Amino acid sequence: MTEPPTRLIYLFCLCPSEEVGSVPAAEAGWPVEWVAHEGLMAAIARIPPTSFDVSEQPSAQELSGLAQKALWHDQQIQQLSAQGLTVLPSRMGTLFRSEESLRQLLAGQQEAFGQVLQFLKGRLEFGCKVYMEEPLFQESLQAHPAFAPLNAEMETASPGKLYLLRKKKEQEMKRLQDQLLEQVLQEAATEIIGPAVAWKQGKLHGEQLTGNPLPMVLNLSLLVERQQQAEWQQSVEQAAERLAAQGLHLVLSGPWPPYHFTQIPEPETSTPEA
Amino acid sequence: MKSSLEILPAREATLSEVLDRILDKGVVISGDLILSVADIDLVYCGLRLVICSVDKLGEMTGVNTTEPTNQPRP
Repeated sequence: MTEPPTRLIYLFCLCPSEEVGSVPAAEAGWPVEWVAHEGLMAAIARIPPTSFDVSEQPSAQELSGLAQKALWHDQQIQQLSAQGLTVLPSRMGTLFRSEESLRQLLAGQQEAFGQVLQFLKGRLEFGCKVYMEEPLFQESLQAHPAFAPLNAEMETASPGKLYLLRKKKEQEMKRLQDQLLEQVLQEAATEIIGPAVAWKQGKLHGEQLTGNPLPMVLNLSLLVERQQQAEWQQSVEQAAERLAAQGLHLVLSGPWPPYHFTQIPEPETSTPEA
Repeated sequence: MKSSLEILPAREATLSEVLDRILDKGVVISGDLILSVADIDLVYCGLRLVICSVDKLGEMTGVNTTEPTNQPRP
């Protein structure tokens, strides 16, 4: 029986050899080791075999350890990306028994990885999340054209009728709120996506994850040309202005390594995450 | 005038933001892996953490997690 290895190879990401090689090692201060194979460089660390083991019912300590590893994974890739490298992030927890097994993998899929790296070159990922302040959003609906006939009627109504019309308007607003929110978000999303190369719609998370008491109503990830970043950010700011006037708060995060874009998308496949 | 857009640089992102970006993302590489399968509810975030997989981890499960050797943060 083969002895288990004392160290495993943890893979952070792949980079094009020519980019890694273009920076002198002494100046680069890479936070990782490299394993080279033809045109690819794999950014790795050597870790104890038990580093990612957890119990079936993980303890708080184990979960905290995993969270630290998530930060560790992200931080190494971010550092490489921040140095201008094109990175193809691997999924967190990708482990190899040996350099040899990693090289075998690279040899088998070298062309596919090279194509994705080419696609990602000069592009950055950003996150756009929108949170709703419901009372402000409802207030903004008061003047919505959908309620114009009711508003006109209310202006001339007697006190008794006015009460009934107010109730009717409240019910209508409740009925239409989701539909109008969707419409507002769709318009904003179109503006935010704008010139992005690709985009994905993420899951909506609750306060438990976000720490934000306001409900998340939109979660987009976008891949943007580095050269168009400033221009694109301007259009996002304009969208944010419009959303803010309706009680919708936009938070932009990034630039991130392209975690959401590790496959070359078909033109029309920027769809919600599975 | 104060901008309505809040910008959060990635290096200052919270753990929850990082988890939202990286869990279940990144290229899935299959090959001769050691594999570690973990299907865990991160209690504080409700996300499911699915760590990459393959064979042979069965013999390595149940051991305490140890820190990676290359910890960037103290």
